[in-house]
Amino acid sequence: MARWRRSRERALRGDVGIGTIEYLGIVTLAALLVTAVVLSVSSARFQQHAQAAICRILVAVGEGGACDDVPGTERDPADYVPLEPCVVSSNGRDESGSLTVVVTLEGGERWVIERLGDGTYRLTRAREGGLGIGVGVGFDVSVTNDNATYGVGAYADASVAVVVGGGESYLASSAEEARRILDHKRNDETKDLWFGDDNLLRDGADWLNEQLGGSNRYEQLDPDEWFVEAGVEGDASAGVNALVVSGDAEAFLDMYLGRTSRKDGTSTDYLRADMGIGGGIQGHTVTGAGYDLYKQFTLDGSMGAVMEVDRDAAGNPVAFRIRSVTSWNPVGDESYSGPGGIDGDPTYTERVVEIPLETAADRRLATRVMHAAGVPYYPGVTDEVDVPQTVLDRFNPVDLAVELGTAAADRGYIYEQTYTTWSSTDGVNAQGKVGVELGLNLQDVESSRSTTGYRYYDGTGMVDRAECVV
Amino acid sequence: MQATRLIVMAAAYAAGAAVVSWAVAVLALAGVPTVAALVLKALLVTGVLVVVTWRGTRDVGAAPHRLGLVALAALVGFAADPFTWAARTYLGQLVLPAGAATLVVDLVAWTGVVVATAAVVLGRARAEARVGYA
Repeated sequence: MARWRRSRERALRGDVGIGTIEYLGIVTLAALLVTAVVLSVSSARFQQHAQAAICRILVAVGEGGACDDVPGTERDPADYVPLEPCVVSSNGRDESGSLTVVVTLEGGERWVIERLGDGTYRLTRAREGGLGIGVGVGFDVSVTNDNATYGVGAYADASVAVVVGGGESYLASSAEEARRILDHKRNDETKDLWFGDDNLLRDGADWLNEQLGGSNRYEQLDPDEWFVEAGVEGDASAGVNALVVSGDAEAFLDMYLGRTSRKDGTSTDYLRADMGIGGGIQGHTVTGAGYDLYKQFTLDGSMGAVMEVDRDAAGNPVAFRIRSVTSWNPVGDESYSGPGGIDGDPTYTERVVEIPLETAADRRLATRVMHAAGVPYYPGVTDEVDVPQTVLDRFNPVDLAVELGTAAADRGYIYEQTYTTWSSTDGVNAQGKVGVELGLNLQDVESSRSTTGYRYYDGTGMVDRAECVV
Repeated sequence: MQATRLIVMAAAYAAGAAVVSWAVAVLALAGVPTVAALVLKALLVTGVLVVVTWRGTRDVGAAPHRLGLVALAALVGFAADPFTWAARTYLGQLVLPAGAATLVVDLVAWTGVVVATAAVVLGRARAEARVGYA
């Protein structure tokens, strides 16, 4: 199950960046609103354009009066292209570990290099640490190699953790440069540990490195953007490992609050929530002819939502964005070449609706969306509380979606992308519940992503954006 | 105990510890995990302290004041190690982030290892001297 969860976390985290019922509300309402907007906007706008065209024809033949302008036509076509850089593909690595003695201490580090639609590359490095507690029964001792788990155990547990994380991103002109920045930043951290950051010893180490043909060029490079976030993660799982066959089931609910800052002074605050369920059985068996056959029958599903508010360099809110990511991944397959031969890569659909926060009406609309989703307050945006309107929006989100969609179509951005992720997990897990919780888990996940589709609203309908697709 | 010997011992402490610390840092830069590298550094620096102390005191007799002189050489060697200037001399980083606290931990451990080694070597010399007189 970890294969899927890690993949899910990366899927959301790569794009940016309150009680249980509210979490569910945020995720479901965001998905509902954004999906409704994206799916309806093209047909609704097409209708308007068709009506306007018919009106003009009727006027031309002397059968009609004045025709209203079609909303959105005053914008230049280039103004509809989303400002957010699109990710064409990416690859990365996530190393994490946890130690449990009653409470769980967890930590991890990851990096990802993304190819952006404008031909540049973005390296993101992130670290996180957390403290959690759980209850459960059973034990598990297992090793995971290339997504296949071997071991013995039977367990059921539930846990909750408080997690704090942060990271930084660097823009590079090529994949090689991004890789060099990654290597140099790692070296910088190692040198900081062994020699210090700025002293005679460090100067000597840097000088010697250069004399031996090395380079310190990117070690002191400032990031183009950086983020900090904190949140809670809840998880319930049960599973059985019987040597070469494993079965499991899991449900999770995560919520993060964070801020991304950029070196030009602008920033984005975000509230991210995601939830999912999944389970299945997988493992090796031997055919009648004596061949090793790997089988996998799993079903994973997840939904995530991100609400973002962009701020200008002076700290004023300038845009509100709501993002929804969904995935259903049924896998029923068998392979003679192990897990690598299974066609089980999950596909995600991400939909984004963005409106500017230029007027009081914009802020009221953003407030309505936040309140309907259960977000009670956001500085500079939710200055007014309209309880009857909130109740109305919760029971009738369709009207809210129409208003949001209209504002986004006229003055904001609407876009949708689909992408497939691939991951390979290696790790060890040992856990036991013998009166107290004990456990040790180490995991190394290699992953990649390919964008298979990208469309945005251009004033007349949803159109493809070729440079954002592999 | 000759001053030259004490100076050589101090220089050997500083140079030996610096060389092994540098070597382990290179290993860390090559990808050896941090904790493993720090443990390796602590073991190698301990080896340097024990070997230099043993070599420097094994044939100097057993006068009690010599323990103090060896400790003085150790202190000078500690101060002369470039890694001390960055508060990263010995094993303090295994338990604390580099800083004043690790400097104190390193100094106590460094001096303790040298004095303990010298005490053993000088104690053995005294025992041998007593056997010789008997």
